[in-house]
Amino acid sequence: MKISKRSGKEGSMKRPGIKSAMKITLFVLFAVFVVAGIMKEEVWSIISNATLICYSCIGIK
Amino acid sequence: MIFGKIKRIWWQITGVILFNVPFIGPNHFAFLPIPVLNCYACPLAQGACPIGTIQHFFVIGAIPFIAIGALGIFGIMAGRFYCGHLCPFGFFQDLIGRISRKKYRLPHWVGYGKYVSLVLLVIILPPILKEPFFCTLCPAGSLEAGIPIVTGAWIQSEFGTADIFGSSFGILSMVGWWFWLKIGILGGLIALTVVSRRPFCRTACPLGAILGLFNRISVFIHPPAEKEKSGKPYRLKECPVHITHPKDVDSHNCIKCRDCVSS
Repeated sequence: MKISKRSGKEGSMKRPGIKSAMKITLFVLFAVFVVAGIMKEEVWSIISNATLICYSCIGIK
Repeated sequence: MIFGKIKRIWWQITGVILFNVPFIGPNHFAFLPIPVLNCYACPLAQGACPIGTIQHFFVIGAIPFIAIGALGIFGIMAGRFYCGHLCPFGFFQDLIGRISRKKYRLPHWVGYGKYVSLVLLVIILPPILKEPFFCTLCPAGSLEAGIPIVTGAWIQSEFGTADIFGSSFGILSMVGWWFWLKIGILGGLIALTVVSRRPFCRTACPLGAILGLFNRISVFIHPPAEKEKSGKPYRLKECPVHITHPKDVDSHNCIKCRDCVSS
């Protein structure tokens, strides 16, 4: 099987198990990020930032 | 598969309604960083713009755990699928692009501009300047927040009507040259969109840069796999991001619209 130089796609298709494990690992990692954020009570900071008038977004300095 | 049965334009209309629901009042989903570029200063916006949220945390000197985690999960699930199907600003560019069928091809290297935008305008400058610097230039902010709020304030001052968005107080007196610079950026982008395909998504969108990193490893929606299954060649002539080489399908520029594989 010819392996693509630009994407390496054919080569990576040979080991789908590694790819699936990588996806699961990344998913768990990002889920941990979300849980860490919730535990740090980041949600309130996100809400207050998103509900205040954003002068930068409007274009007022 | 549901993605093949529903036309993309219906997904996009759904995206506009979903992230800008006018009839349920204030932003009830302000806690949730969404995977599309929809300005949270828009009077109708639902959800938090992830780029604005990330900058806000960098400005206050904190790490945006929830925004990074949410974007990572959205990316792992479907990569840039959201850009092609749900993003209101992408839909706006698609509509403007219909004005002219003659399109000029942007050079391939400009696709990396979105990473410059991400690193410079979203990560490096906000903590130094103590303001969300990408937002101060963002054309989506001009379109969805600047124009409606300033127009509402102007109508209020000229005709004495009620404060339409409840946020117009004193806005007109604060409008200065930076507002007009932002309008100029939006105008330039609209002009570019007429003659090229989705220029902002390909060259400057930091959200597209983040989600694009997950394109090849996302769990769902892979046009190359669908093409292999169908056995038909790609139809790249109408690609909304001007991908011309089959190896670039599913690359960081690909918005997973599936126009190249759907019959």
